[in-house]
Amino acid sequence: MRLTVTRKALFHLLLAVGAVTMLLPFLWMISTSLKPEPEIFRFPPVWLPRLWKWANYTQAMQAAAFGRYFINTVIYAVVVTASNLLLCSMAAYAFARLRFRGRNLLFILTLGTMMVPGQVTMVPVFILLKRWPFVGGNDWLGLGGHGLLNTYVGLVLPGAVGAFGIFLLRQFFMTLPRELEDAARIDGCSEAGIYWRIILPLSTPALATLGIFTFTAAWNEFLWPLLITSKDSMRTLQLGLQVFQTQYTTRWDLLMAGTVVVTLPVLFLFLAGQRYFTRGIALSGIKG
Amino acid sequence: MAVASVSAAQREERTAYLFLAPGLALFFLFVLIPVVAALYLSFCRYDMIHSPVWIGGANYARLGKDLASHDVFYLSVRNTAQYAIGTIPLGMALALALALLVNAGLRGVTLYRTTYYLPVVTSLVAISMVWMWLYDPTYGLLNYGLELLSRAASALTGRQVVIPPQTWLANPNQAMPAIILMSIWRGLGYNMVIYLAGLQGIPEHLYEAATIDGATRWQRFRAITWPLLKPTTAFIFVVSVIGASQVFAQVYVMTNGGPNNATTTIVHQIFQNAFSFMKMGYASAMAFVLFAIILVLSLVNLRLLRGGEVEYA
Amino acid sequence: MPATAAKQRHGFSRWWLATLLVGAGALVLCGCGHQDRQIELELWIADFNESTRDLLDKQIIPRFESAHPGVKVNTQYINWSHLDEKLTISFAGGVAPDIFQVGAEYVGGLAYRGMAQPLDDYVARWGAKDDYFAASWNTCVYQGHVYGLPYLSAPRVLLYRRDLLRAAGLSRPPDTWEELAEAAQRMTLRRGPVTVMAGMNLPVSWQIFVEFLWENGGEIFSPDGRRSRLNSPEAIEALQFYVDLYHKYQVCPTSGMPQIGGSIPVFASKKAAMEITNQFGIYNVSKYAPELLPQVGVAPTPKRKQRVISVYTDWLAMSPQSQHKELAWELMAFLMEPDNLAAYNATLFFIPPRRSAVAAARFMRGNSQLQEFVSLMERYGRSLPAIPEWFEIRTGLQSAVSAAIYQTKSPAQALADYSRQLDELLAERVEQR
Repeated sequence: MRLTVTRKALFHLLLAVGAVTMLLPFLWMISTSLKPEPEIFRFPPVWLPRLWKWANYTQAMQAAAFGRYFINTVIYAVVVTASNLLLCSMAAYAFARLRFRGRNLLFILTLGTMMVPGQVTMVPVFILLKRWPFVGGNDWLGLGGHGLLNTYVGLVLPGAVGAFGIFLLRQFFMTLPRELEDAARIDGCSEAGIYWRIILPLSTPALATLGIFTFTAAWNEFLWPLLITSKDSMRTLQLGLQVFQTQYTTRWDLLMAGTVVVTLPVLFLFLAGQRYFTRGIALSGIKG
Repeated sequence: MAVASVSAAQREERTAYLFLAPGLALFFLFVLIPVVAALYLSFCRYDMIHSPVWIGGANYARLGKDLASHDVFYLSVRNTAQYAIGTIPLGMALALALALLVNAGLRGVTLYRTTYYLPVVTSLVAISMVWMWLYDPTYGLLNYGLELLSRAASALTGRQVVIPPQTWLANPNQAMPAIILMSIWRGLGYNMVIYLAGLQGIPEHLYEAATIDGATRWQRFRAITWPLLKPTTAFIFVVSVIGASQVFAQVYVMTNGGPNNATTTIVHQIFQNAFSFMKMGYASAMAFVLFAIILVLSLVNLRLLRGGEVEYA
Repeated sequence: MPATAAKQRHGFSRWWLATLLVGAGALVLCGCGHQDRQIELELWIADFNESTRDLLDKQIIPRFESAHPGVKVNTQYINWSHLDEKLTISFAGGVAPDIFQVGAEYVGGLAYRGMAQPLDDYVARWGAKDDYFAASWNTCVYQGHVYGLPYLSAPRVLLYRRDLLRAAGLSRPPDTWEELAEAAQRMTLRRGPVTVMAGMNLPVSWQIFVEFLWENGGEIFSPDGRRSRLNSPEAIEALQFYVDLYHKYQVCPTSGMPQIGGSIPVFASKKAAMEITNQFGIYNVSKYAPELLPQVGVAPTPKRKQRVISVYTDWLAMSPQSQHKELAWELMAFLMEPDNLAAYNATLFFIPPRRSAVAAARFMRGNSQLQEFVSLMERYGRSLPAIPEWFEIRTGLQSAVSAAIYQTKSPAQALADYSRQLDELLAERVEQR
């Protein structure tokens, strides 16, 4: 599609204005993170502090065990994402392409759970994890110990499969042309083979999208890790940032510095995963 | 032949169950069963210390009374509706426009895409805190912007124009619009990325053929882009409605439902009743009223946007 | 062809089975942990900053641990904004902390639900009860039993700018409501629609309303705590006065007043002449406008029918689920030793609730302003009545007060409406066990 020069300029202008609007709060965040505390509360607001206090960053990271939190968050996010990608795609494939009794009912049930807010299920899930038999000092009835509380498994398990992922991938799978699969089936390929060798490679944009969403959501998740962990060694980065807030005051300079640091990994991941968004579906040879 | 086809169908079914089993097992355990438990609790009085006590439909009756007398729950439903109406149409339209712009093959696509996605990548808690700052009546950027506008307007018109600083989050009339603005800002990148994925799926040759046939940009959009984006639009719309109905984090961080219940949402009420007032039964009843609302809305949505599969004619 | 299909099919089942076994195995393995030989106590602190954590983690707790070999204290620092949900889910799951910090409104709810251990026996043996300020101690008492030990106190007084007072032609701080309105009006400066200097900084808060209510001789609840007394003439007058300060005398801040987390109150940013606040008013002035400090005067809140200083105290409670109550009590008592208590309060700039701790507190010695806080607290201090439903009540009360101040309802109407709701709420209280 060829664009005229004026068109191009206009598009660029619109996108740039939008981009600046997007960035403004972040510029503010970075600006605040580099200010010494007294300079934060000034009107008119000061954009560039006189002295760039890089020490805020080191001070922020030393305020709590952020190294440990980082490891915990990485484990949490990676495992949840991998698990979602695998299990949701498998379930979505079944819903999209396989026929079986109760398919529609089950799918509606899955979708339906998305409509119940997680806040009311957190307590039952918490109790379930605490009473998981044979782990954490529990007997076969799940009594006596702490079960899966304060463990990585407990942190990860409830989020390992999400209805959102199943929904997203099922919609996507349904748009894939059937010809490739039919040809493969005729060639004697099993469903598993079709799933693994045809559907998944074609679904890279959708999988990448789901992967980024899931990873980002897990990285930024606050409420569930807050509730399930009660040891400092199990906390995640988002929980770690709370240390800068007390009942009457907030250390805005350190909080902003900490937030910048915590955001960077996901940002890099997004940058690295950019090209997967642009990979088109190989439809060559289908159109008869 | 008959025997072979029956076993093929059975095999397909069994394969389906195998594919579903691991995901569904986890799903049952951590999603479905807790939801059923919550449904049971909605008919109980449960303070989480003592055992649940069956009270029948009393929680629901109380909610009905609340709605009728325009009490707190009613306000939360109203606020949630305001939020949904404020964020969804505008947010989706902007996201689509952005996706189209970004997809138009300009240079710096990666940069734009990253910039627009940045708000999504950052945690909602962190974003809410930064925006609380932006909305601060004394030190915030927004009121500063208003002051700059006043000065500019004064300079232009030659008269003294004063736009007074606003209280934003402390003002019952401005608090929800403030949250809506911030949420649109945040959600743009999210929907844009999904739209982009959808746009990628539209074969290039369709556009080429249309251009050859002499179609204008707008005609190309209407005849090719929009229809082929329907599954994506449907998906985004349904997910947005479900998401907007459950808005919570921003309220939790920024206003805690205030001022004067101007920003409390349904999930915020659920959370408060469950974890602060320790009325889990009542909170669960609210959750299922919300569920019913979302279910009805989703069914209506899906009916309106019928057509998930499109033929590549 | 069928042969390879069969092999692929079986291959998938085998692979799936393997994954399942590995998954199950991992699950079981992960749960395995070493058995702790130590006794572990869990302590939750909600009022903290960096200095507090240093103090507790590096000084106070290690001293306790070395005095009690084989005991480990796991201190968790939990923000107030998340305390409720963490407490709730921990109690629900049966993993409540041994000792946890809570706020002024908590005693009723905790006692009512069996979430706090009555400590009467321990306290009787301990014998330090009389060392506490009455208003602080009463925060932990419900129906005659004590459920915790006060940890920090925050009395609310009237802070005023001496220089501005003098400039307005007044020789002493206002003593009554009428004098307050008068003084505030004289010290208010307005430029167009914006109030540049507010005579009186009042946030829109139910706590301020309660202060006025008590000063007017009114009550929130009946003596047995089962009926609302908000629909009384005293309450309506109090709320009316509050509203008048905003709209009739117009001495309160309009827009443009800082809101961010209370970090820079209006007073310290030189936008108000008077303020009803706790000792943080002093702290913020000393931090952000230290040159003003000598000009800040401390006076009792104005009286109408009686003089009242409302005192909000945060305190430590013990969980009835604790496996080591005797040990937990020892930890509590240790934290409450005058020197430890004074050091803790020093990091946060609160008033220690014990007289001996006030004496031991270096940051309070020679600080005449803080000493005045203590004197006022001693003479006129009063804490919130212990009622189980405070969380719901404060939300509802806040709405009623806001409605009156934002003028969507008249004070009489707002209080009548809320009083009815409050009666219903209190009537729902079921006697547990």
